[in-house]
Amino acid sequence: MTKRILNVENLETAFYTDEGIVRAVDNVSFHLDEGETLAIVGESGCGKTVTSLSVLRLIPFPPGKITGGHIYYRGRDLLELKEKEMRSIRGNEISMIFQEPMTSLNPVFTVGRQIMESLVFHQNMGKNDARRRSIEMIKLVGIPTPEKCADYYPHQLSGGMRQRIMIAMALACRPQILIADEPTTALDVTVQAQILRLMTDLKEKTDTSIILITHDLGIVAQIAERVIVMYAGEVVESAEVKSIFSDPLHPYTVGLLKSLPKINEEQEKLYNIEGSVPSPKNYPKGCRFSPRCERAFEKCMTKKPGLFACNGRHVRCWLYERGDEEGGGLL
Amino acid sequence: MLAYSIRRIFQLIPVLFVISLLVFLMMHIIPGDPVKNMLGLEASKEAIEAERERLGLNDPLPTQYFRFISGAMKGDLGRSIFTKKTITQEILQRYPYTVKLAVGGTLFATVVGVLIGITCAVRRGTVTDSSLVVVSLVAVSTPSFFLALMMMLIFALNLHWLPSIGLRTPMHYILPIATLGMQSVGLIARTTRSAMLDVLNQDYIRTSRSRGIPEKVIIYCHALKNAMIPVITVVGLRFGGLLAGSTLVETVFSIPGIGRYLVDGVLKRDFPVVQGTVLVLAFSFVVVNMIVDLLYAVVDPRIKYE
Amino acid sequence: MDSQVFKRFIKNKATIGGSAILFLFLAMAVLGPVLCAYDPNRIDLTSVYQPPSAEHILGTDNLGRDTFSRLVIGARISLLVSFVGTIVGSFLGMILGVTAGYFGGKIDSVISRFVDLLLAFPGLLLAIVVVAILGNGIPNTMAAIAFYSIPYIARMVRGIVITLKDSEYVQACRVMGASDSRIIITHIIPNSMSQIIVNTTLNLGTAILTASSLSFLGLGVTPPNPEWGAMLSQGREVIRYFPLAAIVPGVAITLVVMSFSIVGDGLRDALDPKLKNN
Ligand SMILES: Nc1ncnc2c1ncn2[C@@H]1O[C@H](COP(=O)(O)OP(=O)(O)OP(=O)(O)O)[C@@H](O)[C@H]1O
Ligand SMILES: [Mg+2]
Repeated sequence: MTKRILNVENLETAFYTDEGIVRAVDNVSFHLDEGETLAIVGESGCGKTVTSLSVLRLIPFPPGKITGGHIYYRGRDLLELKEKEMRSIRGNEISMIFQEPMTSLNPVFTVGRQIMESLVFHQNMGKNDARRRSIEMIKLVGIPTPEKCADYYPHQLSGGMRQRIMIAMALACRPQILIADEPTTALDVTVQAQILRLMTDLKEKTDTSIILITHDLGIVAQIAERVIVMYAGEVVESAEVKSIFSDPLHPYTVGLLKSLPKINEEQEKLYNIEGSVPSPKNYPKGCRFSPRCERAFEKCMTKKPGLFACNGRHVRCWLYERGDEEGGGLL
Repeated sequence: MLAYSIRRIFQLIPVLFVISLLVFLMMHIIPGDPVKNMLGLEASKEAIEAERERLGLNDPLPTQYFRFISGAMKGDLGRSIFTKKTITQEILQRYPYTVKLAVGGTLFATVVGVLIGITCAVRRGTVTDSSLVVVSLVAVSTPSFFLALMMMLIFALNLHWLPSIGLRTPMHYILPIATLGMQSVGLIARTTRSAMLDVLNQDYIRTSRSRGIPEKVIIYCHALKNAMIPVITVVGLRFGGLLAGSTLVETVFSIPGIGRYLVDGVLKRDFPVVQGTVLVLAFSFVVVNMIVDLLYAVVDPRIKYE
Repeated sequence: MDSQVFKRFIKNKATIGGSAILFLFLAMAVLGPVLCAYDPNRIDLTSVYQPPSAEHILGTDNLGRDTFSRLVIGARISLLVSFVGTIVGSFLGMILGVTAGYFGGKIDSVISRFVDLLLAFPGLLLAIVVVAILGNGIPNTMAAIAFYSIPYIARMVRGIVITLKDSEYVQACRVMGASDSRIIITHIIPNSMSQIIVNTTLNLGTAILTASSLSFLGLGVTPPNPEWGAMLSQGREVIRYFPLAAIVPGVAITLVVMSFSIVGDGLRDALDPKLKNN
């Protein structure tokens, strides 16, 4: 049986801003098995980044704060750990790649030094060993002249190169979990494909579990095994990749899939979900998707749907109320 | 880097030339006749004319400038109209005091200011932050000569912990350096605070945190090195400011520095003295600015050596 | 100042405090002689070095002159010198900055070089040099202040003008055949005004410092005029026996300088909340 490596239960993260409380992540639960690739998809602003930062306890305080829930990593609740214990997990057992490769590397240090640092801190490596290993990592992410590249400063590298360095950095300590937050959004299409291939290759080699955050369902189809769909800070659907594509349940998921460009079909114009994401400062009263939902009925506007189990999947929508018994939020 | 530094040094030559020309011209547009001033109101027209001739003041301006600049290049800045002493020697005697005060004041201000700035940024929004912000504001606003007088009153005249005037022993340096540096402490603290706040919000700091780097290392190494870029600008400017501001502190503590020499020159309308001191000070600022430029290149790899 | 800006301005407690102190000193300066029970230069050798009392609120100095009266008249001189100096300097700086930024090219590079050169020197030295050329006295101190304020404002205005010049509005004006001077007067200057005001306010504090430094050195406003720096310079001579003579003008300078800095920062935050320091 596969082992469950990460289990997030009822996670809640809020930002206390001057304009009011922003509940960016609201009662989110999901899990990750060893060696698995889980995708988190959803429109911009639905709380994907905040969810992953919460897992690493990197929410900037103030204004942000994790206000509830549990994050079990190998049975231990990360939210209970001391800052120092948490630090020995960050970058060592769980690492993260960020959305913005252009600004995520420190401009005043060489990239080699930045990769070395985690090795020195986490694995007590000496300078020389750490450097040797950094060069190995740079080579592993497919940069042709690793020795030279190690002495480059970030501004001397292109966006794609920087993202490769970020991956090298994240994988240097052979983490158990890699959280990749839209690793390719900021890159152009050809580079995107290279980076994705690199990630899948490396995953095979190192057997890391991956949480891949994206709003691109095309990428999900390529590399993920399971998907959770987020909307307005909540999980609205979770399922195997195959079933999501063949039989999406939640109207939002259906909309997302319809808006995907299809190469083999003639399309007049791309489908677009009407309306826009509600502001986290005042969510609609009932189902958060109801104002934009084509199939919404009265109940949707007034009462918030729970997470219902349906054909072995979970979906937050009144349409599936009778599909199965209430799932209780646990996936 | 070496090539870059050498090129920067060569770039100084035209700047220094322009400055020497400006200083020279400035002293020759001074209204009133310095010779008349020197010889007193009763001096006869002939005596004045003879003295002017002797000092070479009747030669055409280009000739005078050429004499000035060729002398300056040989290290000869002429003689004081009143004391007749050679200005170069006077300056050589006094300049070290001023430089020591300015260097000391800058070091003091930088160390204390940067520490305060970091503390504020890290504890932003707390009582520590707001009280240090107030302290910085008071430090920036207090005139150095007033602070100098008060410190002298308290620590030298009342408590007798420190000597009050002169610069004979290391103890003598404490009060002048502290008072000279205090305004800059405030400025550097403010700059460091806002630079650190800015840097701590950057994505790359989040990356460092996500890699489990200890917070101390992140603040004092990763963030500080980035925040130093604007701080260096201020420190450089302040060092220049302190070379000039030293004048005030020299006055309070009766220190025979170059600043006091300049002021006495101005007060007596001893124009060769003013010309010589201003030239030396101006050269110092230009050199300081160059050093600051070189420091940028050390701290920030994005600055290309071109 | 529209009401939004004003609301933001008075929301900040520090700015209110700073404005109150400034207002107090300004009132002192404006009312001047009305507040003085004594002629600030009246010498009374029978009552020298008096501590504060009902007759002399802040005591008397080495010549028996009433310190409070001298402080009031000193406020007049110090504030006048800094205001005139800074405003003239800002005006000249604005002209230079607009010229450089708007016309660009050779004019810009000459002006910018000059401004950069001036900025390389500390304000106090520039001020001393001006006094060396012109001699001391109240008008010359004003000139010194004006001269060293020029480069700061010029550089800032040049930056603003360069961005404004390419704005769609200005482009449209140009297409419609508006002349350069019209564009500058109706669009460029009004749009850079708020920043000029903020920076001028901040410079006023520095101006007070510089003016009093000059006077302290004997280079600015000279005794018996009760300029604050000059008062401090006299106080210095008796610091051992009668520190009050130095403390009164010193505290006055510090308070005013601090208030200008607080009010300047407050104005900046009120005019452009985005710039606010986090
Ligand atoms: N520091 C913060 N202060 C206040 N609100 C924040 C902060 N960070 C995030 N939020 C809010 O949290 C919500 C979720 O943001 P998040 O960055 O997780 O979105 P996302 O799904 O990653 O979007 P994207 O696809 O654009 O990256 C947003 O509404 C945002 O306004
Ligand atoms: Mg995101």
